[in-house]
Amino acid sequence: MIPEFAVLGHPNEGKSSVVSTLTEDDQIKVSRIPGETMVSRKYTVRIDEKEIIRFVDTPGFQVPRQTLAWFKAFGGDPTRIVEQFIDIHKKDPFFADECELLRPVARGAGIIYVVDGSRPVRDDDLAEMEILRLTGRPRMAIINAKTDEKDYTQDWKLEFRKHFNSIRLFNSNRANFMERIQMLESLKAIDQEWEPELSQVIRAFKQDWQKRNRLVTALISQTIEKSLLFSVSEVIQSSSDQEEIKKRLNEKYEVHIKKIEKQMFKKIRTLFKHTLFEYQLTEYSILKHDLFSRQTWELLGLTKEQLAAAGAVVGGTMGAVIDTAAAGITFGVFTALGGILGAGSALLGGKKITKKKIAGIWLGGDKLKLGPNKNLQFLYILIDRGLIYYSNIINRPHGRRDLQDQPGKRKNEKKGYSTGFTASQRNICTKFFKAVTGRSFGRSLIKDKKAISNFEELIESVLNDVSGIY
Amino acid sequence: MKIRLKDIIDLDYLISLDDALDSCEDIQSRATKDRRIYHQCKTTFQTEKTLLFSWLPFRKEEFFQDVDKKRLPLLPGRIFSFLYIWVVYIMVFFGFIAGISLAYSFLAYHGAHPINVTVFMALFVVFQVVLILFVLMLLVRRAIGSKNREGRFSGSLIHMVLFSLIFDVLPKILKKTGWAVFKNSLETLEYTSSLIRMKSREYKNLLFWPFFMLTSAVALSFSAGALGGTFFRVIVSDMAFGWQSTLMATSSKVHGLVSFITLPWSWFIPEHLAHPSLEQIEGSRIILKDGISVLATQDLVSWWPFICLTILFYAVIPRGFLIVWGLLAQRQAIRKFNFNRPRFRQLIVRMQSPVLGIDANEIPIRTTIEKNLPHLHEGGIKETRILKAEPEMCGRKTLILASKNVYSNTIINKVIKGIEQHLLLDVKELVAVNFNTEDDTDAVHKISVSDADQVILLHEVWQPPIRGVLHYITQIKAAMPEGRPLWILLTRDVGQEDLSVDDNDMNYDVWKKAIFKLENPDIRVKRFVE
Repeated sequence: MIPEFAVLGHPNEGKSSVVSTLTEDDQIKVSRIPGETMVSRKYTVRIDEKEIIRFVDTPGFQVPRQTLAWFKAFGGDPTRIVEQFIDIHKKDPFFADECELLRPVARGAGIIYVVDGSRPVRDDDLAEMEILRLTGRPRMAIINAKTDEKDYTQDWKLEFRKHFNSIRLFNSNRANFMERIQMLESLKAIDQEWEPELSQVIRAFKQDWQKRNRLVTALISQTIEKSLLFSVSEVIQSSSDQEEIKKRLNEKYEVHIKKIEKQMFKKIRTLFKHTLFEYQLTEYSILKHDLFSRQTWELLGLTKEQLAAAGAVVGGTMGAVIDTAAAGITFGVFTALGGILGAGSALLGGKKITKKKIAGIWLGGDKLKLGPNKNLQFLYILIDRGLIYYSNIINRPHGRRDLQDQPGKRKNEKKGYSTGFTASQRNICTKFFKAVTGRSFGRSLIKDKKAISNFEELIESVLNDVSGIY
Repeated sequence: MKIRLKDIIDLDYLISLDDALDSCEDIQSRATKDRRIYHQCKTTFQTEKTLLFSWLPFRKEEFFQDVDKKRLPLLPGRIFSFLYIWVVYIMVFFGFIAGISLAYSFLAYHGAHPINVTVFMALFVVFQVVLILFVLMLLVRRAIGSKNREGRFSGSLIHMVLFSLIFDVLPKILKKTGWAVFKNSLETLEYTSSLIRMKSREYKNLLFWPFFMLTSAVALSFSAGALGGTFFRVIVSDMAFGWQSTLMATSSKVHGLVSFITLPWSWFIPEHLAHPSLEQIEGSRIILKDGISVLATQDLVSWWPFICLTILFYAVIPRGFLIVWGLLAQRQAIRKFNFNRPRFRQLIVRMQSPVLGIDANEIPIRTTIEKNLPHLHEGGIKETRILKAEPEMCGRKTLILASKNVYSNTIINKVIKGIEQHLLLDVKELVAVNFNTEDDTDAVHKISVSDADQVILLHEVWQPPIRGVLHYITQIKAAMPEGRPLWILLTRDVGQEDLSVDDNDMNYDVWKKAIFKLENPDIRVKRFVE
């Protein structure tokens, strides 16, 4: 049987937030209105389709004093007290919530009791704690700091020491991956029996996190490569306004670069299972530098010079054929002439062809090209934006709903991660930049494979640092 | 494991399909499927590359299962092979025809002038040798260029033109024609074309060799055609070959040159077939003023085996070697292809890492009993209207119920003062309660005998109106004399300086709704205002 933990507590204490954070499920209904959880929900964690742990989000206690009164009055086998309670009250609507929330406990689940540390301890809470003590199940108390207005943590701790095996402070509005892991570590302490399974869960969570970091590294690297190599071009007609085309290309370039970045952000968000929260990075302009590299003329992807050379070869060959047909009498003359004519006609004829579209297919002409961006700073902008987005996504608890981030008031956006890079790390970035943007022909895209792998190692180590995983 | 170019193209395509998945569910499902594939083939793969290609057949199968059965889309790799093979066939055919026709027409002999061996050799052998040497030079430069950036040349023209024609113009034309084979595979056709165009840098090395082999195959077919044409002419017609020169070239010098040319085959082919003898060369020299009648027929025909062997050894076989080189180089390029690129690595990471999934299952246990319970969150317009109205207190004599554990003497005095000043009530009695009728029997008795006009039960607003508390409230009301109201007066957390509750406090709303659900007009809720 897999370890099961029932998350119990008074209504409106943040049980669903805790479960949401533990299971990284931002679809769990979390509301400030008490009693939103009407039915229990099981969250089963699986590794490779094998169940390894289960959390059960339960409704809050509704009649704790009456339940405690029954528990106190119970004279039967104390190990079967919960089963007996459910058995007797299962058809009584008055005890419906209590039956429901105690059902996983009757199955043998461990107890995670959640309270709001910003409110004082009341008699109902004491009754609930006493009920849980009487169940005899291993239990841990979580003091969830819902607001910062008041802090009754010490009062809670005092009471908890009488009733619980383990106590943990937890802020469901700020809980990140490491806090999640630490909470699971604390669960190990409440019952030795579950230690191996929980260790496995922790290991799996860490592995999964590392896997995500590796995937994010690949995503960032892929996106940067795509962005650095991206360029746009447009055919220039004799009547075209070049300034207008430049403006249009600028817009097109910027839109596309943002689209590439947005795709990466979306993937990171999905990877970390955030379906509701969207972090908006401050807009930036990548067009501070003139990215127009050159104006080119093309036909079928060949530049003027290439086409002239191609014409010479074709012309020469044709000349050779004529020479041959003339049985060698003219050999050499037509070949040479054909070469010259071929080159010339390729250019002149090419010019004519480019003015027309054949069956709607564009064959060539004058082109204005924007990009690729050859500015090294662009690389650092892209790195920082990727890392800032990642940092905000991983530090966003899944249980947090109402508080939305406001772009603008952010500490780490102004000073990106790359500003803290050491000289050797900057060197790695420069090599990567050169490897990606360097011209290559004939061989694979990037020659210096080590430059890429070193860069990816750097990004992964930064991601690990940011998430606190080691 | 044999990896073909079309496999790499298919791999790229299928990875891009998975990469485009949007929702968490789809991504999770993909990760699970990839992991399953990994488990199925984990015993067979040795490297990450073989892992990728072990994944491919499973993913292909899944791809064909997913698509509509009526449609038979072709994967881009197949489309690439299809286009490539057909272009090879067509080009080879035309090359062969060109070779045959050119050789056939060149060798037209009408009995007047023998065929000039030198011109024939120049066109069908020397020109081909020059082209082969040019190709070799390009290959050497290309090899040097890969190590030395400066040494790179800007691009192979034929390569680029073929590239553009086959993967840009041709797919567009095919798309426009709506040819049945491609009709259902427009997406993959488009992908194939864009793959070549968009990723041309990444795939350049891989795609160089197929085009290199294509041009070599055309040249080979041309030379083979020329050889065939020559041979055919020799068999079916009367041929005469001769040589001529204005220069004082002696027959022995020509013989020396011919002997040198025949080195590749003279060691294993009988001498009379390998090349013409000195006498035959002398006998086939054309001197126009003497005419050809003085030349012996056996000397004039002695050239043909030499001509055929020259074409074979200097044009056909070297081209064949180039094709074999291309094939080997292609294999090498595939072997060296960087499968560690982020796109491929994502799949490897996905396959090699355990899939961590979390399923959520609702347990609908309380559906039957829930019907009997009051719902705090349901309410129509009527209810909202009633709840918005602030009820007024009537009468003056008041009995207050408060928990001693919550409201200390100081706090309770503060509250009583507030009640007397703001609600203008006369607090006659204060009774401590525990919110448990069994413990509060004295309090209940006092309520039942009290002559107070109303009873006020103090409660902190943030404490939710749980069923236990509502049950207690109805029991207290039941103990009160008929017609007298029970007020639930809500304060803030007693640890706060100001106990007043805001009108828009969400918890206050929750209380109003909960009390409303009790359907007892004599139980009312009010917020405390200092």
